[in-house]
Amino acid sequence: MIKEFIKKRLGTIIVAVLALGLVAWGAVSIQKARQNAITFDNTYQAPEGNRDLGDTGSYVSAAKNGSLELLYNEANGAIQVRNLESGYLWKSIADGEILDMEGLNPQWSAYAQSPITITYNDLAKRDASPATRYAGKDCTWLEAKSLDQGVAVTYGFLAAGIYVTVEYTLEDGQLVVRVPMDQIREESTFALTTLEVLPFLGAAGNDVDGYLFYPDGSGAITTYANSTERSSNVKSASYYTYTNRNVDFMTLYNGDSYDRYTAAMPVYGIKNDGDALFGIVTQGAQDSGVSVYPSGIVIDLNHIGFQLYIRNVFTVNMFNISGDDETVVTGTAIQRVDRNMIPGDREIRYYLLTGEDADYSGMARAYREYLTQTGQLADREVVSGEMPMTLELLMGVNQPGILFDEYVPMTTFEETEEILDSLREQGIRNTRTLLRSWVSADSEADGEYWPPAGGLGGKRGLAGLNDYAASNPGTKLYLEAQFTSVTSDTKGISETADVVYNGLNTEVSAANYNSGKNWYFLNPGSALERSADFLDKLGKYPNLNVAYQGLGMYAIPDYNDNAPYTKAETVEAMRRILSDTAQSGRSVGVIGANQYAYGCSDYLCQLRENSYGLAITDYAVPFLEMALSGKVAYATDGAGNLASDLQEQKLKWVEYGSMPYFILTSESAQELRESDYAWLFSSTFADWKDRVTEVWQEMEGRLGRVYGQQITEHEILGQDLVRITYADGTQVYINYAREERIEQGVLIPGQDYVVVEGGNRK
Amino acid sequence: MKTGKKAGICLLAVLAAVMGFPQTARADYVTGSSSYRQPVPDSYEVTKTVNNIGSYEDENRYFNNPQDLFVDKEDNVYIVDTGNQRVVKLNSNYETVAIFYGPDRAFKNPQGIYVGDDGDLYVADTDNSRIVHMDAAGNFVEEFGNPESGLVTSSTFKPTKLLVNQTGYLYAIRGENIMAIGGNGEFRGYYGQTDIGFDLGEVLTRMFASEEQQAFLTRRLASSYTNIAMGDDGMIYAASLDREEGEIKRLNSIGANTYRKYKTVAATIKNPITDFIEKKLFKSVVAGNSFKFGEYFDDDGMYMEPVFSDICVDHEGIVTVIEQQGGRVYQYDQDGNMLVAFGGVGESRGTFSRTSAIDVDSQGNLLILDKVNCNVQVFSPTEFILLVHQATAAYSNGDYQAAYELWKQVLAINENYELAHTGMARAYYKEGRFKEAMDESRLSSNRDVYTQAFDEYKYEVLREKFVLILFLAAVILAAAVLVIRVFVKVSKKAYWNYLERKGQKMGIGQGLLYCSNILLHPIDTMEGIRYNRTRINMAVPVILFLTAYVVRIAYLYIIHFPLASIELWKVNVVLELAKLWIVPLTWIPASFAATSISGGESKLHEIAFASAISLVPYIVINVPIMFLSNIWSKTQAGWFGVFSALAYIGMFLILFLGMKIMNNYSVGKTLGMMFVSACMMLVIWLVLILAYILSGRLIQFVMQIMNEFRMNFL
Repeated sequence: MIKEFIKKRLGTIIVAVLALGLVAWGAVSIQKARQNAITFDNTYQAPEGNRDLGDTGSYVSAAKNGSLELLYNEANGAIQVRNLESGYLWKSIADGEILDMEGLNPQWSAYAQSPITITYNDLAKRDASPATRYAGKDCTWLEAKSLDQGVAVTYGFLAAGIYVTVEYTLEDGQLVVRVPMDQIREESTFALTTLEVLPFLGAAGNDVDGYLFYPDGSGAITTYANSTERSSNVKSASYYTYTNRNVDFMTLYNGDSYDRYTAAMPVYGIKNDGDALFGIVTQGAQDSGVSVYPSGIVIDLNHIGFQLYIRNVFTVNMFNISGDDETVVTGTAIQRVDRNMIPGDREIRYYLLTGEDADYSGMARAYREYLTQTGQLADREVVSGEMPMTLELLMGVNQPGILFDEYVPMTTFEETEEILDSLREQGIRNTRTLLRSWVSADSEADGEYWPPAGGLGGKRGLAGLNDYAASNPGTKLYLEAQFTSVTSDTKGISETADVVYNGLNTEVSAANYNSGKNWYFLNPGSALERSADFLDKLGKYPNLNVAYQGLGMYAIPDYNDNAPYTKAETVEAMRRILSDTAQSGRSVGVIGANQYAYGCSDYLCQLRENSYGLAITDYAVPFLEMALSGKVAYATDGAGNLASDLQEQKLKWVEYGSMPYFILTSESAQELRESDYAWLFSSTFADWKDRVTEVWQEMEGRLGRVYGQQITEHEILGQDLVRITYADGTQVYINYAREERIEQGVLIPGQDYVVVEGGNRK
Repeated sequence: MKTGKKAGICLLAVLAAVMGFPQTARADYVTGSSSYRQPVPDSYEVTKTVNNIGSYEDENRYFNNPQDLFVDKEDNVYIVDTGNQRVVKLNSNYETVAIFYGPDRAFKNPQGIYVGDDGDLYVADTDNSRIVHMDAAGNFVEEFGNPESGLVTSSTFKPTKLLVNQTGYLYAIRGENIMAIGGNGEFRGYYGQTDIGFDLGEVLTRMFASEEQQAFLTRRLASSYTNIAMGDDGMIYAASLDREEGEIKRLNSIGANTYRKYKTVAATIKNPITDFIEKKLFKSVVAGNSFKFGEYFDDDGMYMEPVFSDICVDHEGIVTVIEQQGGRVYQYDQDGNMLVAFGGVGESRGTFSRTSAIDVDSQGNLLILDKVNCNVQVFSPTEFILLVHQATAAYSNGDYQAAYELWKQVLAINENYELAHTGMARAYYKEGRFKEAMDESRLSSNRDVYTQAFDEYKYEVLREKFVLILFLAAVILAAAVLVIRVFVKVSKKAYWNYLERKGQKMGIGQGLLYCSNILLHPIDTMEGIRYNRTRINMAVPVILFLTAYVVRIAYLYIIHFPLASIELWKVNVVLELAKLWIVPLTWIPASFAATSISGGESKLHEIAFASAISLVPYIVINVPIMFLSNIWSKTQAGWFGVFSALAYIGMFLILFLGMKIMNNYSVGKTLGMMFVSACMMLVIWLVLILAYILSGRLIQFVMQIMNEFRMNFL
């Protein structure tokens, strides 16, 4: 009878079971969401303040050492630092001397007088837009405590119920600013998300001879004097350290937005007349950013400052059922804020530079010094006195077919040897060669790392390469490995367990994106596992090195339930992958240039050799390269074979201290036209061999001797004319213009460079 | 819409490839004969940005909504600063040297400017309804109002873009026309009116609309011009919204367009008959006619129609246009081949917010005005694009040897530059190196040059190995005749076998051979099925459907390059399947539904059988055709079309016969029922599409609900 019933009502039963399942699942989700939700009894009453906002007060000495004096103003919580050597006074807020406050709107006037600002969201509201408060008018409670060599100031924003303590101390030639996390107090439902520290420190008008330096690309400069050249519509710029703060797949993956918003280094600098200030976030760098405000944005004041991120923020696009088919079906976007603060105290160090050090070259030297002292930059096998060369060999691609895509070898393992041999015959013995796409056609995208493609020669071919590397010590071969992103095609990956989740409990992904796959970021735990497995597999090939794609470009927090990683922990995981690789006796290559990779890498490739090119940027400078030169081998991201003008690209390499860099294939580039590598429009080795040799020979002849030294100075002598100075005093004049130039008695032919060594031209 | 989406997916893939693991984010590219973007080296770099008037004393330092820009023979730059009601003159170093506010009365919303070789300025003083002529110092010379003529519509005169030719005629854009005004302000006629074209829909609407409705119908206008520029060759280069002929035009003295046109793009070598067949019957068979100026897809791959807001032409005849929506700059050679596309909307140097004007100076620098950023960016050509310009110029001047050398240099920088391969192919062709010309033109997907070279090559081979080829042809012919005869015999045997052995079910092999009989004896074959309908084997139609599909795929692989309608790698297997099967498959339920309520005798599976047989001519015709095509080129495309047509006519006839015989209908009734079935097919398609869209929305909705549950909110 039951049988009959089932037979009769099978459809109903299935529907009922499905419906029950959905309801149960919904109930579980709601339960889970309830657990994560934040509950309050919002009874906060703002207490009475202790500060008279009208009182401008006066500065008294809070600490003093041999080179600096720290002054503190009890009335408004601001500080000043005097450089005793030059006498220059660095003010933390704008006063009447710097900026005419008359007629300025109250908001901006308050901002200009704020040593800190806070941004917060209301946790009690489902959709709370962020609000910003300025110490200049909203901090109604101040408390200062004397410290050894400094002062600790507690800023109370009473209306919001948020208290932040900032410690200002002096150390040698540095001002150290610390924000202890355990002293941040939130007494209402407002949750602090962003803290802006000393946004007007060193702010200057256009009459001052100086500039702002910020970590856009390799480093970028906005000169005060150039403000007259800009348009009426000047915009500020923000940079996020290591990875965009907005954790969204397309934002992170899109090359344009990556270049626009990502800072490899947590630094900025200000030069005012003969003095300069250089700031580094020394603790909590991964949760920081830099905001640049050139003069013309509301006020005629150039200022720049760090932002410290206290909580992660997520934007949710609400579904809108009424949208029509053609438009994107999204409703309003709302912001959600993490319950917990990002742990770990924050620390910023400001180096006060004067005299010869007071420029961006001095900042680069200070940065290099800082990295070296803290063990974040070490001397790693840079062969000096000989010009090396970077090659990227594209090993294979997908050739789309009607039924099946076909893996087409572009450079087999054997051909790799042939290419390297023929370069060796020309004298190019010191090479670093990156083998790309050597597992499968999509291995770069899928993050596949084993086994080597059969079409290239398989494991036997790889063993051959291993032997080749052993017998040719100058030849360093790097196998590309990618443990940053995966797709639904990646073998051995769970699309739920191995991927990065955001704070909203959803995967950071792009569904049905390129090639119809789902794209994800690989979570750090799985990245560690996969890289360990890879190193294990590589055990039989001890002479082959590894270059990590993406690892030097992204550090993403992961909210995966099983093994959550904060951004700081992710950074640690990345460093562990690098140090494990080094421990296996291999040279470690990293593609991308985030600061955490410098100390653990032997070779950095695709360093930026330009800035993004915002309208406010006057020029790009090789700040990053100056800090790294001579410590780590590196190549910049301009490939000679993709340049519209090879000569100009060569000058870039010279200016940025890079070795020459080419992306080549053994087969003709015409095979690439219809593949994912269509951007490689010119790469055939047979066509490029002569030009590659010629460029290298020329650079070796003129610069080989100084290669591997520190670049100590970079100067812009005029439009299209720069000069770099190596540690031994050798100077290189580089002229990008088509006309010849004479500078300080040196004639530099058009589109060429001249090496001057102790007054002798070479 | 549908094609837009497909191309969209294709484009997205391209974009991602450019991004790669972030490669250079912004890259210049060209699009070939389709919407596919092929990256190229940087073509232009910004060497200067003019953001304000510099140290020149004036009330407003900054520009405000500037609408036009002109570079004169001495490289002075004139900016029509519309929002500030002024014209700013910069010298060749981009320093402000003069500002004009209007000679006799103040400018009111000026929108265009032209400067003569003598330095005289002609300003479109739009809201003053006049074009004002000033001397180089800004003194009033004369003004042109609305010229008086019966032909000029009485609507107010709002001049925007203009130019003056060597004979002193003034040309101003007026909607779909360019209006010529003589030296004394007299009307000299309309010039370069675009063809309004024929629209069946409109004719039908007008035919059936009542008088009241007619009153509401607006007159269809020819497409408007958006901007004009004067070439050194005396031609007027114009940007328009003409989607039929092409948005970019080069108008000669009588107003005829002499630039590349959409309609005749593929027609360089044609006889009238093939031309007719291609244009009217088999448009899509001949590839290469999907060329468009600009791009019809945005960065996300969504369909859009480009709006070119300004055009300029350099002394070599190289045309550069700016497109408003995507913010891109497109450059074309003298023949309308795309040289490069660059720019885009963005924040970095070399990108735009909203472009309003472009001009080129004597050095080849492009000056591009942005009306939102209120600035001018100066783009200087790189080594790469300079070489390309020289090569196209050499070719258009007839210096093929120089062009060959220059294209070789271009290829040294960019191995995959299609135009360079075409250039090389043409040079080889001129030298009589036909095989090399074929290889090169294949690399550039240029079917026209390939065809020329292939035809020559064919004759060459034929001349050299005439006897051998004749012998081979004879052998193949004999073999073919033999095969056909055997085949006919065997299939006849299968036919009689089937009919005679009553009580025995049709075998698969037997069934297939039986079906092939349809070609010789269609009526007998159909009747055979009708009278033995209980014994048919349904495996046969399945095999026929599959075979047709296999033939289609094989065809795509084997067909000769110049005749292929689609690049192999762009083929979508599912789409091909749908295209091939959709008619016979939907025919089955449609005709079943139609016949079963109208005295039909056939059952569903019998109709399925008959409709599978309709694929037989397709199979039989296409198999030899795809092999034969390899000695054909585009010149024979007409014949090719005839054979393809035969396959489809055969399909139609068999369906007709099937319906008539299986249901025992009269001819008239069959035709009527076929019409009903066709309507049913349409209904089925509509229902399918509707179901697809609705289920998509439902799935999307459920997914979103699930997602929102997963997120931690409440």
